[in-house]
Amino acid sequence: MPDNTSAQKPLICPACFAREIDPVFLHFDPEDGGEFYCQHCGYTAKTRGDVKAFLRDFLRHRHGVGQL
Amino acid sequence: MAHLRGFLAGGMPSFIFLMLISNIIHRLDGRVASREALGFQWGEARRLGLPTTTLLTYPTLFDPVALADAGRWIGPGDELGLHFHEIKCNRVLDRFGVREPMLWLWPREKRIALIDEMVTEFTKIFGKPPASVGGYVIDAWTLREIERRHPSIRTAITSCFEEGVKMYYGNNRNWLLFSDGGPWNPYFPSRENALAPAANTEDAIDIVAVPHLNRDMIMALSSRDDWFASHPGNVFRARINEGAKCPYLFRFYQAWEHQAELNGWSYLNIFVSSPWLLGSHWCIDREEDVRALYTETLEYLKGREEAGALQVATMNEFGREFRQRVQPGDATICHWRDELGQSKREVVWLSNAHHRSTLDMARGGALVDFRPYDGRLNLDLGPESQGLWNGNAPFLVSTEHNGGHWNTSQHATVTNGQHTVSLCDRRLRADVEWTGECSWIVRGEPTRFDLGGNALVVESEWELNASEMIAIRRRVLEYQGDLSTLRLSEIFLGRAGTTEYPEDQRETRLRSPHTELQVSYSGTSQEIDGAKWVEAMIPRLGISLRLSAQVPALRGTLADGLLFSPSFRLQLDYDFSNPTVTCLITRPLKSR
Repeated sequence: MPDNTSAQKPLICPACFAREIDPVFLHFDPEDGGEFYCQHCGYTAKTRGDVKAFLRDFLRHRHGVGQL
Repeated sequence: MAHLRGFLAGGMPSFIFLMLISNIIHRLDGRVASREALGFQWGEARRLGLPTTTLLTYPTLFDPVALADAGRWIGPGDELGLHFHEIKCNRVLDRFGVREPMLWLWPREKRIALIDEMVTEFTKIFGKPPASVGGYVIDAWTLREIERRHPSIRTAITSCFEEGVKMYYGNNRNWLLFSDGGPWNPYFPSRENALAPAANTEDAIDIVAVPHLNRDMIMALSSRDDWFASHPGNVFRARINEGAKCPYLFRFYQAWEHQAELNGWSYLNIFVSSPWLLGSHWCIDREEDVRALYTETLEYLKGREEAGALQVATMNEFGREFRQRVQPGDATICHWRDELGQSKREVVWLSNAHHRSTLDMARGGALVDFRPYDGRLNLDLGPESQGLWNGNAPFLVSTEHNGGHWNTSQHATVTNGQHTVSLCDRRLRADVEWTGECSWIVRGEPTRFDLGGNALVVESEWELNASEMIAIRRRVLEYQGDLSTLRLSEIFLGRAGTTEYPEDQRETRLRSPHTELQVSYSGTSQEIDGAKWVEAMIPRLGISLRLSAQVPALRGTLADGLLFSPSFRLQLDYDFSNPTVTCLITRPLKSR
């Protein structure tokens, strides 16, 4: 199972999602200062906020609208 | 087998130059605008004193203006050769009557007739035959014919590394170049299968095969590696440049220098066809940017050459040097870090005469792509061939193309009877150590798991070399619980194929010393107490694959797949209170 922080649901990889691959969960690396990473495509992010911002912006721009 | 050629005891190979050799390659184009760009490329190389190889296409051999341009620009030390692309012209249609735009797909008789004519015309113009040629794909039949009919040709660009399924999709389903599964580095191709490195001199076509460009060895797994290659124009296609700047490209070049430390040599192919240096190209925003990046690339090569880290040579010179350093049967390794995202992801690739293997450290060192070569399958192309357009070397494991993370790969799990962890759930960093000629140890860093509240630290290492065997060693460094309860399972999940749709696997038979299970999508399994090995016989690939226990195993398992998840499973379970050693061995089903 993905090794995300226990209190929150796993984050999905926004880069894989952008490639239209169904949710691939990000792992979290508490060593090395903490890093979220995707085993599938190599996407990495420092914070949960970065991951969510990527996904939010991708979804907004993908459909060419300002708000989902 | 590898050949001993004199080593310093306990050190690095005595022949070692620890050097990257780079080819700067051009293609002479029939279009006037392209030749203006080519004039820029030649001019920059000559300004820096770097030798180039220019490959002439069929139309330019009969174009006095193009030849005159080449005559003006070619300098001392430069090489001329032939390239089998850009053959679509009226002269070709009139003479050969073939509308197929790509030579690798032509009928054989006409394919070789065109090559004969190009060599003849080249010889007539320049007074001697070419030593170097290039194509996007050149199959074994064509290479054998070139070797027999044109022995002057000693070096050839024969494939585009890992161009296949992903490039087909990425190029709007219009680029039918399928040659997944070959080596990324130069090699001597087998007489039977041009994507397989030869096992020995008898098996080898005596032509040094070099790739069309170097590719990013992580993106080659998970993306389009034609976007991330040794090509200053292609990085514009990937939109990873900012104007004329692309720091990634220079990290990429540096990474190929690093490979020389592991192999004793390394190769960098800078092959930029001139349309990529024109503002009219659909990928290029500003012509001055792509030209500035091209110049920066050549200046970088010049600087590294002056620093003694790199040598720029012609294709023919590289081929000669390669023959001094490498023999048929040798292996090559690549330890690639994430140069694009600069994350901590690492992969290790090995290529030898028996297989190409890829370990993904982001998945705990799982074997995520595995192409057995021992079957020496015929991958010839064209209307007379069985494969027609499909020149992919089949995989037994390809997590990217078929099966994903959970249903293919070789990996391991550890259980204490109540809780289980998979070693592929943790990302590793790895050290790759050269341990002898064509022999390396890949050491994964110790990895910590939580096994039902008890800390568990496991270390894995892989022994890779020129043989048909990969040895996998694992040991427990720390466990807070009862060590005697730990069990390790080495698992191989495989399915043969070349693309994304599953193929019929029903010819496959699974075996252990006393049992056998025919694959029929039954989902059934057999456990064998004390099994020393478990094996799959795979006629589709012409090979057998064995998991062999080098320390006593508790049991082996053979498991049939299902139509919905058609991977077979081979498994060996161990008492993990002691270190384990498991060998993954391929053999040809028929002796060669």
